[in-house]
Amino acid sequence: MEILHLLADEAAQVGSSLIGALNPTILGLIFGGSLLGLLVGAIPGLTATMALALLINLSYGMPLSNAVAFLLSVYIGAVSGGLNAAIMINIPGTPSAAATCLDGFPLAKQGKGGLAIGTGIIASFVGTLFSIMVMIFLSPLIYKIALRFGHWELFLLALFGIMICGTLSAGKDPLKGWIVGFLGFAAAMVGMEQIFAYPRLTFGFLQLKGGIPLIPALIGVFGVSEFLAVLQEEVAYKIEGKVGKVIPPMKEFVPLIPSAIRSGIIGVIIGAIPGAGEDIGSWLSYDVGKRRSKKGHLFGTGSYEGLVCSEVANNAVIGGAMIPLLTLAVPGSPPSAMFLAAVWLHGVRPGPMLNFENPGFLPLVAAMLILGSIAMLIWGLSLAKPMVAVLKIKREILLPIVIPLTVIGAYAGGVRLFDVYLMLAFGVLGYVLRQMDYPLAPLVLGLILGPLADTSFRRALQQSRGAIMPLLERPIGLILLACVAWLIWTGIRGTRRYYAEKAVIDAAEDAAAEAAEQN
Amino acid sequence: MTGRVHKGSGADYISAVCLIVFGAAFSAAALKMRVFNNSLLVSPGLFPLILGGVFILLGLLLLRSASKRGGKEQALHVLGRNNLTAFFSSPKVRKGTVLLLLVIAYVVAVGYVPFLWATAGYLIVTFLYLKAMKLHWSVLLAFAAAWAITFAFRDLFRIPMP
Repeated sequence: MEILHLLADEAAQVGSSLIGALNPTILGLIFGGSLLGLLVGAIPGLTATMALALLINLSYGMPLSNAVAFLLSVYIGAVSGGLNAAIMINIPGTPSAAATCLDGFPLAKQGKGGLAIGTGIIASFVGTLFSIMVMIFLSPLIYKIALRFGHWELFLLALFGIMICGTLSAGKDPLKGWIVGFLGFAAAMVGMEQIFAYPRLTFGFLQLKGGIPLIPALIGVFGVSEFLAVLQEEVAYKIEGKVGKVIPPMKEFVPLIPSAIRSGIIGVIIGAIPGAGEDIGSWLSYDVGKRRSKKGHLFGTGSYEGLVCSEVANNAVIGGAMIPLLTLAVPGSPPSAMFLAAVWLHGVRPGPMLNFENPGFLPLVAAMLILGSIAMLIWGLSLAKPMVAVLKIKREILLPIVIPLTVIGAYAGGVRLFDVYLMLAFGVLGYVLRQMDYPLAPLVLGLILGPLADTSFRRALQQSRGAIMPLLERPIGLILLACVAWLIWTGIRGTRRYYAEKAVIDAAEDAAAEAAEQN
Repeated sequence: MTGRVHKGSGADYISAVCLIVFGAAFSAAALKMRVFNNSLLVSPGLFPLILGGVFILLGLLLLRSASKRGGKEQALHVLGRNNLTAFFSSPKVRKGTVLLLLVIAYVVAVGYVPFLWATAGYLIVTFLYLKAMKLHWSVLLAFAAAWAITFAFRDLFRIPMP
């Protein structure tokens, strides 16, 4: 009964936040943010994280509700906008739309590009709405569990966060994901620690006493490094077919409902896993859809069901990613890490205490997500044709303009040039890591969770007077510890298997090369 | 050793060595941190010390697997003069390096030159380097973009500018 009361209360608060948001300023920001997000998302090479990195500076001077409305609309718009390029030129606008290429491009080749875009946009809308509903109903329950977390559990949660993020984002080589995650932890050790305010690893730089500022670091890792990595590749493409009719007939959707629900669930689950992100959700959903569908054999040949599986899931990750972010301060995806940094700047501290400190924040986020997804639906359907025209603009013209925006973004938060230099340093680090096949999401998650891990670990040890046994008797901690141990065990086995396979391939390549040389 | 470069093992070997050195340096820095109230448990250096150890451990794991795949030979081969010359003269690396240098020059210039001029200058040079369009269009678009960004952020949204 108590839970039902909680849920009813939550739904009522979302309703009143929705009514409160119906004013010209917020609606203008929502529609403006959504349009900007769709535009950035449509350009191949620019991700949703990049969209937020470029536009976060606009939110600095806004009141909290306006900033939340704007940033969430950009987020939804950018994740959804990636499908335009995926369908029309077979290059995903954002990595989250990569699976959309598989069925979207064949549909465009058949002259159904517009219908594919329309179906994708509606699927994205459904996915976002589904995930918002789950977020509204699950978050109060997780708050209740999170309130029982002590220092030990918080430390293990941070550790689990970077371990699972490293495992999922590094693909077959989890070791690299973990290394990057711990590098993020190491970067978070810079500056005054939270127990004694003792400055660590500042190397005499006064500017580092406050620690590494999150926004310049995020802009560097996702903005600058992406600019360099994308522009150094030569990618030629042409727009396939005409856009044609955009809005699909309603009867086409009915058989797709079970796939949409399944994809929504997958998206939310993947979103709730720290740092996993939209692309993983989309691929997993597509893969499951292909195996479960009666028409699975048609996937990859221009199947609307395949398109729906990918697009519902990548948008459902948005609401899913908000669940750990709002309840535990652990971002579920890189763009949500950007959002977390922005709301920190506005004085809001998501986490178990959020409901006490800012009781209206979760309903506000839910309301803005709903309005943002409506704006995305309207723009996405009405601007499908002009959006395709944007793809005709050369990347060599659009991408250099990104760099001045990243400089403003890094500078404006702390109003100091030092942050711009830090952004550049993180940009170079991100670029080098990309070139060496290291994932970047764990770095950011490590940077965010580092202070929590450090402080909670030391406080937990202090509470138990250095004894480990009392810590192992706590049930939630024990579950988290078992999860971390399982991740390490499976990760090391996976890495070994991957390297063994690689060694065989290398040896075969050597043998082939030697044979070729002898001939 | 055939003299062929395998993607990964050489780079893994080098990054493993760097990681071990970094871990050792991190631990050494942690050991120099102050201990409050004679309690190691809450000492500011405790977590960095553990992190240093984790880096060494992960570095050793990576080193072991890279060595098994001939990483040492690959690393020496990759770091050889001929390979380094070939690496830096490849169009992809050269393009990435030039773009990075342009960004560095721009970031430095922003500290000394008014934002609008620094931005316009950076955009002109980058457009020309990328052969995005002809000179007169590059100049026109660069100034238009620099002005639009400055106007939108400084005057419209009142965002502090460098």
